[in-house]
Amino acid sequence: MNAITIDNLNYGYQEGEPLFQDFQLTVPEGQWLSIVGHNGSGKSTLAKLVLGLLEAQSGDITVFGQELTPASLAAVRAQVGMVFQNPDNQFVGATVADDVAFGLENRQVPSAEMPALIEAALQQVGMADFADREPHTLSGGQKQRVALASVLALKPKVIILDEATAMLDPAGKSAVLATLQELKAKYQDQLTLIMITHDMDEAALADRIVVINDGELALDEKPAALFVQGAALKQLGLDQPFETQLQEALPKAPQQYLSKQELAAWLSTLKA
Amino acid sequence: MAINIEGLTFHYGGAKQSPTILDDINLTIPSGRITAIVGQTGSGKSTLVQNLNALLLPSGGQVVVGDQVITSKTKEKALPAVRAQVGMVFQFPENQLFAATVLEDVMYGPKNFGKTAEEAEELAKKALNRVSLAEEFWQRSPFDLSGGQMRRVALAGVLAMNPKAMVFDEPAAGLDPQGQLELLDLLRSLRTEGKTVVLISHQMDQVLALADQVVVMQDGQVAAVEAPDQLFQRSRQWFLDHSLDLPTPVAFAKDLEEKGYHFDHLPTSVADVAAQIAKQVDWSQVTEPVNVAGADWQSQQASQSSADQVLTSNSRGGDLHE
Repeated sequence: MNAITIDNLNYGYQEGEPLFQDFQLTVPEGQWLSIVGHNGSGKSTLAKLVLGLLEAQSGDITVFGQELTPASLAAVRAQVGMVFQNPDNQFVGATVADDVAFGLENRQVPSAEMPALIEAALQQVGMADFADREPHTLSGGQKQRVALASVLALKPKVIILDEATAMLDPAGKSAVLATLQELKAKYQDQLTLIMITHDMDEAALADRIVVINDGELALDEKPAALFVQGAALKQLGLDQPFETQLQEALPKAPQQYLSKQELAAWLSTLKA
Repeated sequence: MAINIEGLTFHYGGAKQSPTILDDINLTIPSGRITAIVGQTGSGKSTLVQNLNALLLPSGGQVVVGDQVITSKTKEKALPAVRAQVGMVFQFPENQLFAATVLEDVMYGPKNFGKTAEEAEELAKKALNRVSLAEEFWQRSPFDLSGGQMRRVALAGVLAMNPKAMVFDEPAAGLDPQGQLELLDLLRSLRTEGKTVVLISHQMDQVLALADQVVVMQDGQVAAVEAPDQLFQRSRQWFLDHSLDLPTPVAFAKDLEEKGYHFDHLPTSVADVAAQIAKQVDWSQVTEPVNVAGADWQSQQASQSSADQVLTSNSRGGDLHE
């Protein structure tokens, strides 16, 4: 079963300026996919098309076998949760707990069940102590974790994160990434993750990385196979991870991707 | 124009019981320099910079911007003069955009501070060129732009006002590598022009590459004020305690030091790390091709991937799922 199938997608912001032309992408159920690409390459637009926030000029988007149409929009959105880059645009509640409750209310979850669901969702992002705070008193990073909790509470089958960690401090960022890894380990194939990011360390967590360049699917690889393609990445306006750059700058090195730990371990054998 | 912060305390509202956000901050932010302010979420960084241009007024102590002294008693009508001197680029650029077109948005600031429409337009175009936003976008609505493009418009809006000091809150977040490089160049050129540049950032690689002075905030207090090459000599534990990352080259060098390598200076780039490693290894003893034990899953993954690539080209769209 595929979580998302995009077939012959055509879309442009302005007439005569197509962005996506007969674009194809298939995301199998349970995959952790990273989408990378330079600013304006169409990554966020693609996510908005999948959620039906933008309407394609032509082509089919299918989510778990259900084609995205005006009639199926609500059903599709019930399966796909999205966390945006700017959490301020997704806050509605007077308190943090209210904000998480909002989505549950929309799903008509019985109010007796809500407190436990809200607590569990906030716990997963390390924000349980902030349940009674007003969202505007939170920092950007804290808001983003609440936004993720609001999505988690609805138990979606797909979560799309659009540069959701770009604004977080190291602690907040690793808390969110660790949460995503825990969720993935817990739900396995029941949860499909799509992460839009510029951060190659973050992209490396995925099973697969797709590089989008001006509406075209430029590369489609596993992280280790992508990172060794320095020239191609550079041409697409992207960086290799630090460890790969270092490996290539050394007089001799293994001809394969090594993580930072692996590279340090290999270098330590040369020193012995 | 230097900014002096003297005994600054801050809490929201007049009430004594509201928690102290900033506690007795004393700091000089020099002109012609880049000052980075770092610290974990909630440490008071954003509150501190909002005191620099009187968006927030001190609860106690004072902020001296050029020849203007800002205290809790400063009158509302004195504030625009401060804000004209200190430009702010906030964390979420779309929050500071509002006009119908990109060009009008950038013209708003200069017009507001007394420039004619023609002068404002000229300043706006100059600023938009400086942030490398292509002319094709100038007549579009700023809300049709991507996040990275919006960031450029917000930057241009502040540049067009030509303030003496500029504050950037996480300016590189959400920018692609090329955009980040351009931004670093822009901040450096502002420094060369003698501007007072303040940068809030979590990205220590940028702090290392840019800053002349780093202010570390913790729990509303200043935990350290040092030059980057001094600060990053501190122990890994110190950075953990302050919830800060180390710059990538520095972190890697510290890892290697535990494995017997020695770094005679703090490495600031990939090339620097590579050069310092290279001279410590007898490369004639390293036989090629180099193989690495213990990295099996990686090589397995890589070879599987090339097999998948064949699949992908046959089955368009690609199914890399295992």
